[in-house]
Order: sequence, then C-alpha cells, then structure tokens
Amino acid sequence: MLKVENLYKTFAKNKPDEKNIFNGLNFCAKAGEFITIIGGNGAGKSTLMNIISGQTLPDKGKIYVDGSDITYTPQHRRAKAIGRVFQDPLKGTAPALTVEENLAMAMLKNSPKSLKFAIGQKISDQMKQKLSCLNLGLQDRLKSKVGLLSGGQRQALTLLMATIAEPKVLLLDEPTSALDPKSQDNILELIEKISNNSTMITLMITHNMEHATRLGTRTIMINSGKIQMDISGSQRKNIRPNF
Amino acid sequence: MNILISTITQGLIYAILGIGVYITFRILNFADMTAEGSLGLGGSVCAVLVSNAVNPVTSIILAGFIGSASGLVTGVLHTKFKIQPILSGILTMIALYSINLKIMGKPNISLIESETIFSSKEGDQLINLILMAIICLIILVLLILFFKTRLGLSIRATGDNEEMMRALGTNTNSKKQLALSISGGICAISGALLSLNQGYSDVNMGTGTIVIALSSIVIGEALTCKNSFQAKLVSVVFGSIAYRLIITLVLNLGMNPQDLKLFTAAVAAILLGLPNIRKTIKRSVINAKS
Repeated sequence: MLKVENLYKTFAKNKPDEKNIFNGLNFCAKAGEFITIIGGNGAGKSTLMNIISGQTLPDKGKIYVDGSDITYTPQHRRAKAIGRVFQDPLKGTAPALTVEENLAMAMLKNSPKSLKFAIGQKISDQMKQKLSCLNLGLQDRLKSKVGLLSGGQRQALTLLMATIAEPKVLLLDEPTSALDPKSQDNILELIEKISNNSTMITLMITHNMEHATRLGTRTIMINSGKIQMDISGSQRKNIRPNF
Repeated sequence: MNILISTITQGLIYAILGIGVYITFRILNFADMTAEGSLGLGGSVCAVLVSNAVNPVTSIILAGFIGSASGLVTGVLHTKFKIQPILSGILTMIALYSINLKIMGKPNISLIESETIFSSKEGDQLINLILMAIICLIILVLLILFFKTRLGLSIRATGDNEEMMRALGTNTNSKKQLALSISGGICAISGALLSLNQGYSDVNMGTGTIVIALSSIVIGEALTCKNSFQAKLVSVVFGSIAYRLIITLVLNLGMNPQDLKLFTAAVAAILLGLPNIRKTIKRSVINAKS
C-alpha cells in the first residue's frame, strides 16, 4: 500500500515567485491498483512523483510504502521499492553501455555491488527471455550499445529495467509523450501486461484522456495541488474534465 | 635504437597515468585535475622510501595506496561538499604540492645510488622495456576484469547516466569516490615508476602531465576502430607510446625543450578538437558543392 499523508510543499518559499503546490494532500493506493493521473501543467503531478521517489523532499507530511515511513529515506535506498520511468526516453538507460550491461544493473538492483562478475550465462538467459517479451528483437542485440537504439526501444527497455526487480510502486511520468503513435501503443501494451496480475502499484501521469481512461483501474485528477476527482471502475468511461 | 627503446619504456610509464585519467575523464565523465598531484605524490612517496632502502616493489605499492587517498579527497570534496569536479581536483592538486614537498623534505630526491626495479646498465634497456610492458599488462588485465564485475559495472553506469543509477537504487556518490580513488592510486603508481625510471623525484614532475594523459587518450581513441570498453582502455597504452615517439622526434629534430609544454598543449587541443574540425570542414565542402 502507498499512502501520502497531509503533504505540504512550497517552492521558493518567502520569495517573490513563491509557488505553493500542496496544502495537505492525502492520497492512498492499494496493492495492485493502476492509477492514471491527469491534470494541467503545474498542478503538482510530477512533484508528487518526485516526492514519492525521493528526488524532492516535502515541507511537511509523510509517505508510507507498505506501512514503513520513507519520507526522508535517501533516494537510492527507497529506489529498491520504487521503479521509475521518465518522460525522456534517454533518461532511463545508459547509452555507452550495452543492452545486457544496462539490464544487468537493473536485475542487480537489490543485490550488493560485489566483485562477482556482473554478467554470466544464467543472467544472460534470463535477459533473453525477458527481452523477447518486448517483441522488439532486442534479445538478439544484447551486445549493442543502448545509444544506438531508437527512442521507442529505449523506453521499452527502461520500462523493463524499472520493473524487472519487481518494485512495490511503479512511477510512470508521461512515459509515452515523446514517442510516435506506434511506439506509444507498444509501450502502453507493455505497461498493461506488466501491471496486470501484479501486486505492484502503478501511477501513470498522462495528458492523453483516451490513455487515462483506457488503462488502469482508477483515475485521479489533480488541480492546484488538490485531488479534484477520484473515480474508479466503469464511471471512468464517462469523464469529461475541463482543464 | 636505445633511444627508441627508452622512449617506448617512458611511453608505457605515462600510459599508466593515461589509464588513471581515463577512469575519471572517460568512464566517470569527471574532469579531474587531481592526477597531476597524485603523480607527484606517488613519485615523492616512492623516492623517500626507496632512498631509505625500502624494497622498490613495496614502495610502488605503498605509493599506490597513498595515491588513492588523494583521489578519495577529491571525491569527498565533490560529493559531500558539492564542489564542481574541476575545482575539487584543482584544490586537491594544489594541496598536494605542499604535501609532496613535506614528504620529500626538499624539492627533489636523487635515486642514483639506490636500488630500483630498473637497471641503469648500458645494455639493459630492453629488460626495462619488457618489465614495464609486464606491469602495464597486469594493470590493464586487473582493470578490465574489475570493470566487468558488479561493482565495476556500476561505476561505469554511474559515469554514463547518474540519474538512472540513482533510480536503480545505487549510491552514486560512493561509486564516484571509489572510481576517483582507483584513478588516484593508478596515477600515483605511474609517478612512482616515473621517479624510479628517471632516477629522481621532483616536486614539479606532475605539472602539465594531465595534458600528456589526455593526449594519450585521444591519440589512442583515434588509433583504434573498435568501440568496446576493453579496446578503448588498451588503446590508451598505444596512444601514450605514440605520443612519446612524437615528442622524442620533435626534440631530435631540434625543437627547443623550453617550447615543449606549448607544443604539448597545442597537440592536445588539436586532437581534442579534431572530430569537430573535421565535421566543420565536411559541412563547408558540402555547402560549397551545393
């Protein structure tokens, strides 16, 4: 379970361009839920994700994952429970490293970084099997540099890397908005495949209403730091929000 | 012939410095100036030990460990004090100048009378060359193996995409500190070997060596067509030898040794800029045609 309790955040406090984002936001997600988040620019969607992932610290309030307070846990330590995909496909992978080296880092997320060899036969077989699920032929390109892949391929790889170690929470910040329509569909399909039948909580920010209602089990709309709408189930098909 | 052999031997010694700088400059993407200080530190420590009749091999290894401490200082300045990479390195480098003077107790130490790993006899140059080649090979093999391990790979990934590694639960600060320490240690070993080879250690011997290292890296990259990590690391050695040969050649052609640093800097600048210069020329040729 992911719980956000009484969250406060103001940027540039007591300065002329003070920007108040959250004033006591409360939000709760159950295991297995897939929540799409919509809302205008500056509403606080990305800030919410940054606070959950630990990139930004809140002024006040608490974040709990499965009952443990992670509000002030360093980012790299809470990352063990949280997978993340950014809007920019270039952000989630290391371009100078090969496909297998990138995947190895993701698969070893929860193992100590010891002096064992990173890539062996066993891990290599696992990679091929996981990569073939992407249907992009990447299983035959393990030794290619990731920098040579297309944006769509890199985003698919990022998604695989973010979820391969089975995090409790998956944060998707507009994962498809930099991609062409075909790659978008491919990524969305993958997201559905991964989140279905999983206890992982998925949060996805999107500006595409069709995506917001077609995917997931629940939709929330954030406006000026407040949850303005929170609906789940069949009601979602009928929403027509005014931004 | 003897000049050629001793030039290549020197190239191999500076190759180790090049490898140390490669770790920060290319793998970690960290413009690190500590190398100049670490080289001097290694030279100073080794010279003091050897002139006090300590076994030269032990001295080299000790110099390496002390050198890695200097890299760690830069790492802490950058990751804990949040000082920019270039400035962190410069601060350590400047501090090391005084430290090196303190270690030696005087600006230079002669090792002419001492036992070193190199033979100073007339006909033994080839043995020195083979010895250096073996040392280089050992360092290369160890590093290539290290960067294939989980720890080593996480350092490479940190240098390539730090944000990704943080999202993948890695403490990127500790990885940077480790990489800088390894680099500092290797640069110090290079300094130790340099002082043993030339028969003295001087407090100024590090000055300008970062440019030599960068030139070696860039020449090496131009010499190799393979794009793999291992090939690039090995290419630094050949780059360094090529660089030494060029320097020896221009000195033999009668260039004033005082102009050497100017020449070195110019060569490095041209080599670093070459890929862009080539692009600009290509573009203007295409424009002229159309």
